[in-house]
Amino acid sequence: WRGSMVAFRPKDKASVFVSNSVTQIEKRGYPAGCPHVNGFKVDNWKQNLRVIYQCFVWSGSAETRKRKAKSCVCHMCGAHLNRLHSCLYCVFFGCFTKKHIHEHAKNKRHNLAIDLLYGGIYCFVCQDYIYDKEMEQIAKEEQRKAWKLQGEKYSTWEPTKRELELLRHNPKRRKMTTNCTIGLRGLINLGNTCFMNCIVQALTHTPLLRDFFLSDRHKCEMQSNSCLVCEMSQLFQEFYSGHRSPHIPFRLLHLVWTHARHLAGYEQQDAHEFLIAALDVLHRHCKDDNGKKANNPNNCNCIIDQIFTGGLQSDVTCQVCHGVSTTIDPFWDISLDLPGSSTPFWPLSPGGDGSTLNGESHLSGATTLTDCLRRFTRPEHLGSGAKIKCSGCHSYQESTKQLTMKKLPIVACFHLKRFEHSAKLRRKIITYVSFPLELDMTPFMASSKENRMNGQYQQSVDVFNDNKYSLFAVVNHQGTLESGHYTTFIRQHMDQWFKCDDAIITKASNKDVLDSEGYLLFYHKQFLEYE
Amino acid sequence: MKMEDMSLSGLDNTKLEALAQDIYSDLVEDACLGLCFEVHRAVKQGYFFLDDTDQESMKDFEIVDQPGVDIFGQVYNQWKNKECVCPNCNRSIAASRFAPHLEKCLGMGRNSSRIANRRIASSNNMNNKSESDQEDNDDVNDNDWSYGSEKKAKKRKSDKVFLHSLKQHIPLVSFIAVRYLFMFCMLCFCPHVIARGPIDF
Repeated sequence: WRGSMVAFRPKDKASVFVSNSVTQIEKRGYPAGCPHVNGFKVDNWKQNLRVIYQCFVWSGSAETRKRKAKSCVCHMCGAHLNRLHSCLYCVFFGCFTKKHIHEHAKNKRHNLAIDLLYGGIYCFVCQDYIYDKEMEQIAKEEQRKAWKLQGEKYSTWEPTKRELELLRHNPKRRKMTTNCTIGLRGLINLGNTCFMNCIVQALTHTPLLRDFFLSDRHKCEMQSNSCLVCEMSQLFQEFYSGHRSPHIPFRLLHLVWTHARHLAGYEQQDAHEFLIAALDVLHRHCKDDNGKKANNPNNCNCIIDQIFTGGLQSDVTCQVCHGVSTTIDPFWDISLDLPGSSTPFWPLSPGGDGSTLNGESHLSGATTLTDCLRRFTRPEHLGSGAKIKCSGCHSYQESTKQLTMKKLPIVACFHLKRFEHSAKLRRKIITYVSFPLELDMTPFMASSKENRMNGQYQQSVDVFNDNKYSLFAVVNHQGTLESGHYTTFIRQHMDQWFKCDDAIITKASNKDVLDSEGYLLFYHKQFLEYE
Repeated sequence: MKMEDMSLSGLDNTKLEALAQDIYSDLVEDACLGLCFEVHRAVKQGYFFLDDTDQESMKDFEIVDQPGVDIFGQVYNQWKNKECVCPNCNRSIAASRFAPHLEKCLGMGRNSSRIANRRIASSNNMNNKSESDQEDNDDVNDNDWSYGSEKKAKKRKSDKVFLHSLKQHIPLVSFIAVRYLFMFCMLCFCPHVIARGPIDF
């Protein structure tokens, strides 16, 4: 087989088997392709090739997929895997692993075959996969068509000849390694705009959001220049540009204020309020990404909803008939009351003192984020002054209300309610709340509550309901209600933390982050799954 | 291994596990093959070198961890003279005073309506008072930009805006697990593509 010489018959349309050395000389004119495809490129070869791609390689629809699965088997051994190849000259499928396609190529002198998994074309003379320009072009078009059928609008980037030339002449490259500043940048304070800067830092370091914008996934359909999503995209470009001087986010401020008028012009700005307003504007502007939006407002699948939107379940239980009325509301953040506010924090549940949950006494240690979440999801007796009309009893009854998480967002944002604005007092609650690096939300899920009510106290490890989250950004407020300053800790490269104080970015330790007061806590789901 | 039609209902757990294992290892093998093809194509078409970096460039971007300087090795507080152009009025404004300027420029501040009314009143009374004089007076009031007082009633309103817009767009996203394949993907770090699997910070 290798190195064997066979007489050359010029009239023979099929290719010639030659020794490797001759092949090398011939290949010099064809860096990625080979001359042996010329025998194939006759008559209606383009259409034939297209048909092969459409039927046997990239099946765009369910029927073509089924047909491919059923018909693509090795004609010699019946295997449907083993790197199945199709001969380009005749209808023959053979597996590569057991060399059945090689046998066919040798016997019939059909020197080209196509890999049915990835569409690569194999030349048995060159004994390698080859990339012929014209055939590659057809392959790309067919692949794009099939992907489009599956709803995938984007294809991988490959450099053109001109781009390759440019890149070869410019060998300097920046790559994101663990000790690299790329992705980090300071932000100029535009006049007490640290409330905006701290949120921008958190958003630009949200992994999924970063990946979305760096993959250039936003295709803008807004007519004017006032798309906030475009500005966000621009922001990521600025952060990854490698510039060391801080960025001036004046356009961002202008856009947010023009689109969220209720926010602009207040002397005192709250970072949490800015976050919600920014997400709202981004969500509205993202709508234009998906053609379906205009007709179907309940089915928003924009990146903001995919990342930030969760479902909060509220169960109201009638104390008389025990009928439960359930509603589910979407949320972008969870606002948690703190001890020290006017509303009592302890006990965590009615009638109990909550002090011996998990064997820990709340009196001994600091309040934890878990404590706040337990309080948030506790059953709350609504009292005789707030009777709810029960559809079971057909009258007003006392009831208890309980909140649980129906669906967790990919990024969970916890807002510690440190700013108290009641009728009598305005103050900042500085109670230290300890929060973990890793958080398991399982106990607060609606499904967990159902399990508890059904008597299943043992929480088996459910592989498919992973509720583990990792902390990746912490927004802190220093100072008083009247005059204060926001900073953000963000996580980069798994275990490195950085402090973002407007224009100044410095390295921080785990301890710095976990010892900080905490105002907005951003957690990212550890494992993502397809929907 | 011949292809055959097979019903899943008659199989016990061990057989199902074995089937799942087969499918999983096939998927893993296919994924590895795909990667090999990508590299092969990149090498043959001559763009594999694109991944290389040069040491000099990488050194330029190393994180600095020393007191008194930020991660870029720059001294703090040297950014006093930055300027920007207001998108509303196209004037060049000092960056650190852009927010109070914008507040007035967009007519949104607490004082903006007062100033506007004053302007209307004085232009009715004194036609010869120039525009620029009045703007100088406005600049005197720039100190109103500070952390001050109320936000209580407005906080409610922003909550309402948020809930209202959300209620119109209740997302119905549900997750179906494809667990096995992406446990494998834990081994692959691809920060430049959308990651499925454990998050790469």
